[in-house]
Amino acid sequence: MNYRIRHLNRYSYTQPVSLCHNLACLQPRDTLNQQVLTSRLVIQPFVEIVTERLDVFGNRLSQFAVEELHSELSVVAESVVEVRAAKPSVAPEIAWDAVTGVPAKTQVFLRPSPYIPAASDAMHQYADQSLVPGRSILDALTDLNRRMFEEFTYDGQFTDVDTPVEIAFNERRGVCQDFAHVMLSMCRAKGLACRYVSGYLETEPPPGMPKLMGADASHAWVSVFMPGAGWVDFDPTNGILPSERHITLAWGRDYGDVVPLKGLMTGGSQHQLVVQVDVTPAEVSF
Amino acid sequence: MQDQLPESSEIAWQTLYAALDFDQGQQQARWADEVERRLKENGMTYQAHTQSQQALRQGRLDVVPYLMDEGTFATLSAGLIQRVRLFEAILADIYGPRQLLADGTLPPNLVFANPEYVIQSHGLELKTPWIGFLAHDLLLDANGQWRVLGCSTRAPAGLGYALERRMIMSRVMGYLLRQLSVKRLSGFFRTLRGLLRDESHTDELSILLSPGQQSDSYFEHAFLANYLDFTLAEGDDLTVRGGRLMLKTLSGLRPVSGVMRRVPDHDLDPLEMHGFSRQGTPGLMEVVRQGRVRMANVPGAGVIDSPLWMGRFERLCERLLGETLLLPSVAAWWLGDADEHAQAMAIWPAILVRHASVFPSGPSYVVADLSAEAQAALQQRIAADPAQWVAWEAVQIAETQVAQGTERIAAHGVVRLYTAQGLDRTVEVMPGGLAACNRDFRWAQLRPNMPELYKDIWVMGAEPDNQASILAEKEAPVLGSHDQSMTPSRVADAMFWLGRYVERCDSLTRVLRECLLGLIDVRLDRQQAGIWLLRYLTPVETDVPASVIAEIHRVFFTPGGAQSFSELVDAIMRNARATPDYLSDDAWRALVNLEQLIARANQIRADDPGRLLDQIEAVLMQLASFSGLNNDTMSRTFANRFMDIGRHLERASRTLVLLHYGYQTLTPQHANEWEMILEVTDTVMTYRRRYRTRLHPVAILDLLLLDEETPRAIGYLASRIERQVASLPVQQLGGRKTQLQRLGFGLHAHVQMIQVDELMTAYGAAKKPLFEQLTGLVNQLSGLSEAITLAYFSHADVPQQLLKASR
Repeated sequence: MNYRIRHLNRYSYTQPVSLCHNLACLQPRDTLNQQVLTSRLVIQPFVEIVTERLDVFGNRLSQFAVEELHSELSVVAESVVEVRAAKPSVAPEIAWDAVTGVPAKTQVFLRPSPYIPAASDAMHQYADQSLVPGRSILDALTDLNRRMFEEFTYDGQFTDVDTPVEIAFNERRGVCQDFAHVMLSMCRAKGLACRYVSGYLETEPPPGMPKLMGADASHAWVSVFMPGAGWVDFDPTNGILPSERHITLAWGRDYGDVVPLKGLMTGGSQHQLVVQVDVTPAEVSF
Repeated sequence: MQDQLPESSEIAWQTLYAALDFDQGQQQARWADEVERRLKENGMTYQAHTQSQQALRQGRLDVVPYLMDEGTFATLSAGLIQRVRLFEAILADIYGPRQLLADGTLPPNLVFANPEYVIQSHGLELKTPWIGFLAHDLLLDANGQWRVLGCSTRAPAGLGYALERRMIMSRVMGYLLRQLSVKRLSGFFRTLRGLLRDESHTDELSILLSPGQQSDSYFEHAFLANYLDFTLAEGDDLTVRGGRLMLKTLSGLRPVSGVMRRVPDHDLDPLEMHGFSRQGTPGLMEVVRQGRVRMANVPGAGVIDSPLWMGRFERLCERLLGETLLLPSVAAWWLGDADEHAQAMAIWPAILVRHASVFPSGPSYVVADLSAEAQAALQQRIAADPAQWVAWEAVQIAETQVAQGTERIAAHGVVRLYTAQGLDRTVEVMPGGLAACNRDFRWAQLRPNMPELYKDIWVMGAEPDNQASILAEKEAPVLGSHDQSMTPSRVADAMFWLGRYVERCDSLTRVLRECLLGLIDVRLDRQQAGIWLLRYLTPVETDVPASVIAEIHRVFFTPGGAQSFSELVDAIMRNARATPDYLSDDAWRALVNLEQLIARANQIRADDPGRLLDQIEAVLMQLASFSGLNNDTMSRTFANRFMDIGRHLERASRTLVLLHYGYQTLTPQHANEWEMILEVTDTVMTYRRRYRTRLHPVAILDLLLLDEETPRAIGYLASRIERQVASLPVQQLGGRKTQLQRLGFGLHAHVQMIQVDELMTAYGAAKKPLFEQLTGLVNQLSGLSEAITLAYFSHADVPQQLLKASR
C-alpha cells in the first residue's frame, strides 16, 4: 500500500521574529515493513542551509535557522511511503517475565527517560492486572493495550506536550502521546524494552472501516521488544496492533527524541500554530 | 617514604626544611602568615564576586609545598598520557560504533544509566580531541605505589586556584622555587590555549563560557579567562548565525572559534537538549558537530568521570590500545554487581562508600565512623538502588608533612594533576597542581575536593626552568591585549548601569549629608533648610528634627526599602559582578568596603545622627576612591567609557531635577537652601571664587547649568557625554551610531544655546521657560540612555520561546 503524506506546520507571530533555530523530525524512515519512496521538506521563508543527519536511533533529522525578519514560518514535509502489512508476528509464547537477552544497544529502552520517569506504584498496580506472572508477553501486552483503550478517554484539551505521564495516568485521559507514554512507563517498570513511535494514520478510513483516533494529526504509539519476534507495535489510543494503516515516522525513548518540529526564536511575542496532516492512498508507483 | 627517594630529592627536602626551620622555625610561621594573608586578600576579591556572604573558599594553603622529583613526574605523566589516549578511544566507541557494548565488554548501564551520557553527541566526527583538559586525582600508597583514584572532565574547577596559589607561593618564597628548579606552569596553558585559539584567524575569538555570577567558581572563571586572554562570556552573549558561533560585541557579531566550557553539557543547547536553559545558546551543538568551533571539553566526555570505570581500565587498555595499563587504579566495587557487592560486604564496615554519580562530588561515607543506626540506614539506601553506589577499600596513603606553627605534623595528600591535549593529540601534563591534604587518610581518599588544606605541588627539574611565561608568573594577570571592540555587549550594559548606580548612591549620600547637617544644627533656619532638602527625595510630614531624622533612618537605612541604600548597593554589586575582569582588585576592595559600610550604617540607631553622619562621610570616601581608582588605573577601554557615560548621564539628571526643585520652591532670600544646593553639587568653592558675591539664584543657575569647567555643572556634563558618545565603537548593524552622535551633539548644543536672562528675572525669580528647559534636558538625557541601550546592549536579542509542534 502506498501513501502520500503531507504534514504542514505553520507558525504565525504577532511580532516579527529576527532569528529562529529549528529542528525537524518530519521525514519518515525506512523500516522492515515500509520503504520511503520520496520525501522532501519545503520551508518558507527560504533558508540557505538545511543540515540533515541521522540521530542515534537512525531517525532523519533536519536542522535549519531562519535568520531574516519574518512573521510566519511554514514547514511542509511531503513524502510517499510504501507500507507492507506486518508479517503476522510469530507470537512468542515466552512469558513476559522470562524475557532475557535484550541486545546491549537496545537496553537504552529499558531505562527511564526525560519524559518518562520511573512509574508510580499506581501504574505498577495497573500493569499488574495484565502482566500476570507466567502469561505470554504478546497476550499480556495485547490485554494492557486493550484495557487502556477501553478505560482511558481520548481528550485533546486535557493535556499539552509537557503534561507529566503521571497526571495523564491518574486522570485516565489525554491524546496519543500520553497514551503511549503511560504504556511505555508501565512496560519499563516491568523490565520490558520499549520505544515511542511517532507516525501517521490514513486520514479517511477505507470503506466500511472506522475512522481511527489521531488520524488528523501526527500519531504516536508503542513498540515493545520481544526476543525472537523483534519489535511489536501496540496502539493503545485505538486498542489495536498497528499494521498497514500505520506509517512510521521515527522512534525514540519518548516524545522528546522525536518532536516533529521544535524551535527557539528571538522576538515574536505571541504565536499561533496550525498543523495539517493529510495521508491519502497514492496511485502513483515509482 | 623519604628514605626511598633518590638522592637529589633528599637534598631538595633538606634545602626546603632548612629554609623553613630558619630562626627556630619562625621563618615557617612567618611565611605561613603571609600565605594566609595573601589568600585572605584574594578572598576579599572572591567574596565580592559571589553573591552569598557566607561563601568561603575551602582549604587553606600549606606553606610546605609538595615536592615531586622529575623522575616521579615523568612516570606519572606517562601513565596519565596513556589514560587520556585510552579515554579518547573509549569515547570514540561509545559515541560511535559502540563495539564495546555490542561485544559485552561494557555493561550497558555504565553508559545508559550514566547521567553524563549525552545521547545527542552520538555520531560526532571530531577533528578535535574529546578531552581538551582533564584532572586526575592520584595517591601514593604506603608501599610506594602510585594509583589513580579518579578523574574529572570538569577540570578547570581548580585549575585557576592552582595558578593563583602558585602565584602566592612564588611571591612569598620565590627564591626557593628557583633554587629547587621548580618547573613553571605556563607551558601547559600554552597548549590549552593552542587548542582553543585559531592563530590563523586573528579576527576570531576564544571564550571561556561561564554560567555567570550565580556559579560558585565565577571568580575562578574570570581569573582563568584573564590568564588565557579569552573573553569571559555567558549564554546570553552568544548566538548562532550562518552556522557559526558568534559573540555579541560592541562592534557587532564576532565569530568564536574556541570555547573553554564551564557550562554543564545538558545546558549547552536548548534546542537539542531537554529543558530550557540560558546558559548555552540554540544551535551550538550543531556548530560543534560541523566542526566549526573547538570545544573543551566536548559534550558527553563527562561519561568517563564515573568511578565505575576505574576497575575496568586495565582490560579496556589492552583491548583498545593493545598496551598494559601503566598506572593502576584504586578499583571501586560496583554495588550493582552481585559479585562485587559480595566482596565489598565481606569487609563491611571497613570500607568507604560513595554515590556513583560524578567523581569527586556526591555523598560519601567512612562507614566505620558511622553509628550503628546510620550504618543500617546507609545499607537500606544502597539496597534500594545498588547500581548507584560504589565502595572502596581504604588505602593507607603515604604521609606528608604539613606546617603547624613552627612545627610540622603528618597528613595524607591526594595529588591532582592536569592534562591538556593539543589539536595534534599530543598530551601535556601540567608540572604542578594541588595536593589535597587531610590528617585522616580515609577522608583524603573519599573527598579530595574538600580537603583540610592544599599544598602547591613543586615538580623539580634537573635544571632551572627558563620557560617564558604567558604573562609573568610572579605577577598577577593583567588585562588581556584583545581588541576592545570585542567587549561583550552584556559587559558594556553592566558597566553603564554600574556607573549610573554608583552615581545615584553618590548623589543620595551627598543630599542626606546636607540634610543631617542641617537637622542637627542649633539654628532653626538651618533645620528648616535640611527638611526642605529632604523633601526633594521623599515626602516628610513632620518638621520636628528628631522625627525627621527617624524618617531618614526608616526610608534610607532599612534594608529592603525601595529607596534604601541596601537596594542601591545590591544593584551596584550585581552589575559589578557581571564585569569581573574589567574592574581592578582595588576597585573591588572599594566596593566590598562600601557594602560593609552600608551594612554597618543600617545597624545605627535612629537617635544617633552623629554616627550616621560619620558613616555617610565614610561612604562618600569609598565612592570617591572607587571613582578615582577607575580614573587612574583603568585604561580607556570601551567598557570603561560606558561606565563613564552612565555616571555622567545620571549626574546630569540628578542636578537637573535638583535645580527644578530649587527654582520652583525657593526665593532669593533662602540663603541656607541655596547653599545646600551648592554643597550637594560640590560647587561652593567655585561659586565663591567666581562670583565673589552672596548667593544669588541667577549666578547659581549660570554656574550649574552653563559652566563647562565645573564637574557637576550641566555644561561640563553635556560636553563630556557628547565626547564619550562620539568615541563609542561603530556598530556594524544599522546606522545607529549617527543617531546617537546626533543626540549627544544635540544635548550639548541645547545647553550652549541657553541664555540665562531669558530664564530668570534680574531679581532672581524663575520665568516659566526655565522649567521647560530643565524638563527638556531631562528628556534628552533619557532619550540618549534609551538610544545607547538599543544600539549596544543585548537583552532584546535573547531567544525567548521554545516552540513545539503538536503531537
